Amino acid sequence: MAERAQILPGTLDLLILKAVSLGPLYGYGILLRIEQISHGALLIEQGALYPALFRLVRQGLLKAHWDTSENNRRTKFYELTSAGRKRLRQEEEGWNRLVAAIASALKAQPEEI
Amino acid sequence: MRVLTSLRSVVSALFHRSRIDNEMEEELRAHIQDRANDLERSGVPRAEAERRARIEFGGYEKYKEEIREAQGTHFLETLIQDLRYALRMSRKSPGFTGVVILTLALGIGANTAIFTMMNGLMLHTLPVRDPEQLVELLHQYPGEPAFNGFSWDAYQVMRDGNHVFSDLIVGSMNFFTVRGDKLQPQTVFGGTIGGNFFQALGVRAAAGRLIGPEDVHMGYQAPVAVVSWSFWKSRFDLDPEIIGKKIVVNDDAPVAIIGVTQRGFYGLSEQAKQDVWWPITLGSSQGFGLLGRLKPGVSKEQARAEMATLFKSAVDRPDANPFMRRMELRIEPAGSGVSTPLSQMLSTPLTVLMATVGLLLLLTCANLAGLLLARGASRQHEMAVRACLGAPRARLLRQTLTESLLLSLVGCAVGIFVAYFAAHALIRVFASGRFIIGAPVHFEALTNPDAHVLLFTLAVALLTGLLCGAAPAMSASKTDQRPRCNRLRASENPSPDGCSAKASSLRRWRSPSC
Repeated sequence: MAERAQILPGTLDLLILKAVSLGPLYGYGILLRIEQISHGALLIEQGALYPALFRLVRQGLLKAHWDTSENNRRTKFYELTSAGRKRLRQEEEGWNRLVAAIASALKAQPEEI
Repeated sequence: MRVLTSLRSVVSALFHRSRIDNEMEEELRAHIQDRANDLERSGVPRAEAERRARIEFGGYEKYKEEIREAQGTHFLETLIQDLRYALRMSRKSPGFTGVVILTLALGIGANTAIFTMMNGLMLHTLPVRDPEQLVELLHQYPGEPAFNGFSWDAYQVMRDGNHVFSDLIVGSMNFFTVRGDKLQPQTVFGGTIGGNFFQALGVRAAAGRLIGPEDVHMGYQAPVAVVSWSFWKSRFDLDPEIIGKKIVVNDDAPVAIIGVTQRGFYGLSEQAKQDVWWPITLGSSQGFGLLGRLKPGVSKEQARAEMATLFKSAVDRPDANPFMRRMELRIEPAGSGVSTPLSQMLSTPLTVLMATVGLLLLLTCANLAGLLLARGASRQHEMAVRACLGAPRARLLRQTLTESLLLSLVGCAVGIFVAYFAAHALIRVFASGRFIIGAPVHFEALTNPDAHVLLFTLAVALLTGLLCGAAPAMSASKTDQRPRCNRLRASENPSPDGCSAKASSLRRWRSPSC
């Protein structure tokens, strides 16, 4: 497995929103999906997921409901609200701008100054 | 909208706390189970898989706490927890608690009692238009009490010569006997007033019309009178036929009631409420009580300078009484009422008393802080245990402050009772053996606590709680607990695997190696 990167503070919310935007998920499933879509390159302490989920629900970006899962267990599912969808779009744009800016800064050569 | 949703979630979280807690546990345990199952499928033995799932999950209790925080109920929950704990602690030492509460009750009660009287005497505002613009004109012979009563000549000079007042209001207070049809002879407190009195104060009529400039005449008193709303209610039962009724004042010729003042108006002093007003007689030798309404932007000092000059020019005549020449003019704010014998008698002693009881309360705070500090020393062990179990410093600080605030609030509640009786007792002391001439004395106005008084008491209680609690709280939470932690750990009976039983049960989720 490639070396894993500690995620930056504040990016966990973005990753959760993204994972859930691909379809309703329960807690452990969100973790698996983040591992899957990041190709296992990000390191998340698993418990940290839950305070973030509760916070996003409280902010009205996610909504939660209890349902039976495929293995017939009562499970709490999360899905994106319309406010959450909007927030995800904004955060994505912000992130891309930030990455582009940092990348271009890091590419700077002495002769450009 | 979002605020509403979030508020709703906080409220529902508070009410459905145990259900939410259970669901949270269910969700977190399901996560660890799922993870363990996955690990087992990849070939890890079951026991090892469960252990590793727990490690990967991280601090179980810590995250539960964070979830509660994220739900926004954390502050209230902690408060309730702290209050419960504080109650339990105070029940454990009833003697200590009793002494503290009693001390606080006396300290806060004394302050409230004096403040109640000051509030009644000096801090309320007259129910008239822009009371803060009103000032009272007084003259004073050096060393004697000040007096508001001017001659017709002085009034004329000051009325016509000044540039600082938009109105110079004439109004004197006095007792009168009144009788009439269906009106038993009785003594009422009332006043003779100038034509601009009601209009300059911004008082409206509840019925009929009020006395105006057309009712004031040179050399004779117009036969009209105005009564207060409360007089109308208590003596005439709000009879609309009151207008035109005749009453006899001081056995003079009958006068006709032409109007009733708006509800709540009681003249110029709350301790000397007036019920009946008559027009003054211009040019008479009676004293004219004077009240000025400052023009916007004019200060009290400017007004004093100009009025003093005018007053001097009025009294400084070759034939004047030599006493009059030594009279000084004073200007006092009258937004809370004109000075009465009562306010002149009590203002200074009350101010001194207020400062005294304030200092007394500070001393009380210092003593109680000492007591609480001493008790803090005996609770060091408890604080150390809590710090070792991971309570952050701010949390310990908050706990200790909650305890002292609870004490001071209970003290405050008892103090309000103390204040009520103290104010009555003080009034009796002040009033005993004194005969106050010239105005009726409504002492009850000085002992009625109103919203201002309650707010004042609450503020004093909170401040007291903080003052008493700050030092003990700092000392309780400041000490570095690490050495004590180690000692505590060493003093526990080690279990065979080298971890104390208590510590291992607490740390089950955090560091599974123990």
